[in-house]
Amino acid sequence: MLIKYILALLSLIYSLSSYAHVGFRISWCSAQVPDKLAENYFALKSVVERRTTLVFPKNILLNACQPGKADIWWFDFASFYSFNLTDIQTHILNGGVFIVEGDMKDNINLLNNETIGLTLVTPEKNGMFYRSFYLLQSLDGCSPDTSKVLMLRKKANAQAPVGLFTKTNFLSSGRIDCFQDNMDYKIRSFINIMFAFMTTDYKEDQSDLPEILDRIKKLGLEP
Amino acid sequence: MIQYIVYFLRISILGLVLLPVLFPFVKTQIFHTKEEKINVFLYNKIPLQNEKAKLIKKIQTKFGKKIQLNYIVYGRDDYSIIQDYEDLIQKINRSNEVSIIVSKANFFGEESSQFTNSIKNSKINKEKRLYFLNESVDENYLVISNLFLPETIFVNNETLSMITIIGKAKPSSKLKINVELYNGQSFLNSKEVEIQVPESGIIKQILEVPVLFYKVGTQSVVATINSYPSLAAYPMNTAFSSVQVSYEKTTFLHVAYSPDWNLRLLRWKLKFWPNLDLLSYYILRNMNSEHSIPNSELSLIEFPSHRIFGSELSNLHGIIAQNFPFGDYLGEQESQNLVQYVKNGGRLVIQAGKHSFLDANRNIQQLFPCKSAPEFEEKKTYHWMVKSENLSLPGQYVDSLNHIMSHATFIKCRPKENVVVLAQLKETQDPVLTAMPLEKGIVVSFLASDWLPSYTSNPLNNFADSLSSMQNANASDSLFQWMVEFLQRKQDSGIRAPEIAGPRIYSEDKFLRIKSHGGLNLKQNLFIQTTDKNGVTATPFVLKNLSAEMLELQKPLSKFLPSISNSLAPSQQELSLDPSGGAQLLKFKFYPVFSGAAKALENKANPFLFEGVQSFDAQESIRADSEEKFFTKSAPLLVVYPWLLALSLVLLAIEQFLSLGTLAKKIK
Repeated sequence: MLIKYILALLSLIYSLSSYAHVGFRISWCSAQVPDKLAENYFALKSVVERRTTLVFPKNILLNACQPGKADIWWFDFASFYSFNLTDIQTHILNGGVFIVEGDMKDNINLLNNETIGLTLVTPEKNGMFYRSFYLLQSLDGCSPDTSKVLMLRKKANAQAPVGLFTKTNFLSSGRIDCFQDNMDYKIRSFINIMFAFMTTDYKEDQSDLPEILDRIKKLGLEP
Repeated sequence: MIQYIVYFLRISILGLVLLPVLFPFVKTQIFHTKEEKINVFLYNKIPLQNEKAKLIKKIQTKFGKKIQLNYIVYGRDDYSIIQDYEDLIQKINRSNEVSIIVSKANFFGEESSQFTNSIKNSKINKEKRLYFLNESVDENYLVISNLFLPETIFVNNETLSMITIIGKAKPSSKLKINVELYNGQSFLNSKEVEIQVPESGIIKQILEVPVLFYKVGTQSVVATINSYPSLAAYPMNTAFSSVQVSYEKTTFLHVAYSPDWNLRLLRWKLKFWPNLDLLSYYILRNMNSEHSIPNSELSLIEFPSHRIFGSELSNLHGIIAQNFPFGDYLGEQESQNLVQYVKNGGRLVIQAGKHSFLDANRNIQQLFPCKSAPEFEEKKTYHWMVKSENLSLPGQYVDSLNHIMSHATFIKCRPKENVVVLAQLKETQDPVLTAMPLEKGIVVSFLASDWLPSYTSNPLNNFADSLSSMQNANASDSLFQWMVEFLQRKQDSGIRAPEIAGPRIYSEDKFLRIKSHGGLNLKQNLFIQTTDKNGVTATPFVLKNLSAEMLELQKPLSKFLPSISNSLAPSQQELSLDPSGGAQLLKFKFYPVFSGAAKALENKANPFLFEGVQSFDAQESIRADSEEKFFTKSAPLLVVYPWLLALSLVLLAIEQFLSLGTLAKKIK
């Protein structure tokens, strides 16, 4: 318990005092800090940095879901609904992204806004969330997959993910998601999500990838 | 009786004394003052020695014989026409007296309208104290005033060229005009039109001719007109212009290591940019990463360096290497290919990151702007500022650079000798944006990784923060656009030598008009030379009023060009401008060069040049009907009519004399 408070306090001090450059900054947006937030974050960070070239910020920030303080806003569903939707839209249009984890509600369509190019979609099986690093069958470990992605479209062939709704509890804890104890697949999903946000749809630029197509065929995934 | 006279005198004196109170100021005509000075601006290219007496008489007829004439010569024998008129603007702006410009009005082209506006808005013209005396030869003619082509021309896309024709012809007659356009030796297009000359006899016609370019790069376009009846003659029936032709759709390679927010934003912007194809390869894991998952379950391929830095390299229009350790992913051959790609004219942007500028490979080191590896600083915030003394850049670009800040910045970079520092850090004066020519190509290096993120990287605590963030975002956008245009070869911000600009070049010219691509480096001399390696050093400068970029050659073109016959037709000369003193590979282009004899015929008058300035000749007849045309000003009544005071005193004296006489009689 004491460790939890110390970690939370350190994270808060970091978020308030330092703007030292990092590759990107993640903030937990809910006022209620999950029990093992810092612990879960460090566990994921450690594995991701061992397996990939991604460099995570030292800490996850608290109370920093404000303009200029964090690039990735991370919510649980409860806090997402209490957040001002206009603030989230402004965050997106200024280049930020958000991730919402936990049990999904029906009214996530609220962010759909065709006039500014925001569309809520089911991520494509041959898209970046399933292909950015690992070849995945399911993003949230469930069958069928219930993940939703908010896309920003500006040109016919150019779009970027700006938000993700997933059942998986990556940072919060206490609830069981479809991955249950399969930490490896949960980490694979987390890595794919992070790369999908960082690199958007870069694999679509590479027209000639017979090697990957062959692997997809062997794994029995959708081409 | 005397008493009545005294009363009358007293009333008159009172009236005279009250006059300055009732009418303190009156309007007076300043031409009537005896010491009137008139500035006469004489064009040095008009031989006025024999005509001077005639001119003085003409001016005295209008202003009276007591005026003092002050002759001011504008222009210089070796100046080009645009410089003569720049000199005239400067001198007119300094003049406070009534002024008369004696001119041939032989100035055409884009800058001539700028000249007209400057003269029209000068202080003395607004006060109606400026006159124009036309000394041009009165004959019929047709000339090309301007050849306009858009700033951006795409290869294989039809573009409209606009040829402005000005002239004088028999009123209400019909003229057939034929225009032909050439690109070097190749024919581009031609057009024939029939026009009706207006009753004034003055012609101003804009002809639109579509043209198509088949290759990219800077090219010279020459337009020539002929007419029936024949009114167009060399040299003024010809004009040329340098144009920049680029690809409509460009393909960039984007390679990066360790994706982060800077990568996301740069990729996002590149993807959303119109007419741009992106080929991206990002390093998501390296040799040190944990390899516990079998490759068959990964969606990754080995970085295909032999392919993209081998056979595919020539298909790319530009390369962006973001936080990319070249040495770890490029073999010796690929490194050589990359350097050769740049040397052959390719464009490379190095977007800094923690892993940039660390390579030990000698080939790759040729691409870096610093003599040794700079230090990566992640804890301090640095503000950018343009290194203005180095370049003369467009204002919008300068403003942009001055609003950018970065939190992950390379410091202590000692730039190599041939590196042009475009921006530096305010805090340390270290270079932060550099451009380095490498034979035919250019490498631009951003020595900060996070110049693009703006909103998400700076806290917004108050209105000032929001404003600063908005300025920062606009500035980043502008800098991003500059970067894309650099990769598309639309501009190079003064790094490359400029092109010789039109409308005409004469072999006796010591001053040439030039056109830079995005800015002129005023500190760097250029070397102009022929294919026989004869040439001369030239100094760039800018005309302040007419905003024209110019070059001063140490000696005229005729001193090193192959002999040009005295024929009036131009000869095609291959010339190259180079900032390196001729040591590097040169780009030669054909330019039409006229002989010195032809320059004497550059004497046709532009009837629109002094629009808005009073004609001296017309003024004579106007004066005969109306005095109001004279310049008048307000002055105190007693200054204009000092005799009123004397009259009052005389009347007072008479009044006193009469009053005292009457009084003396009464006493007696």
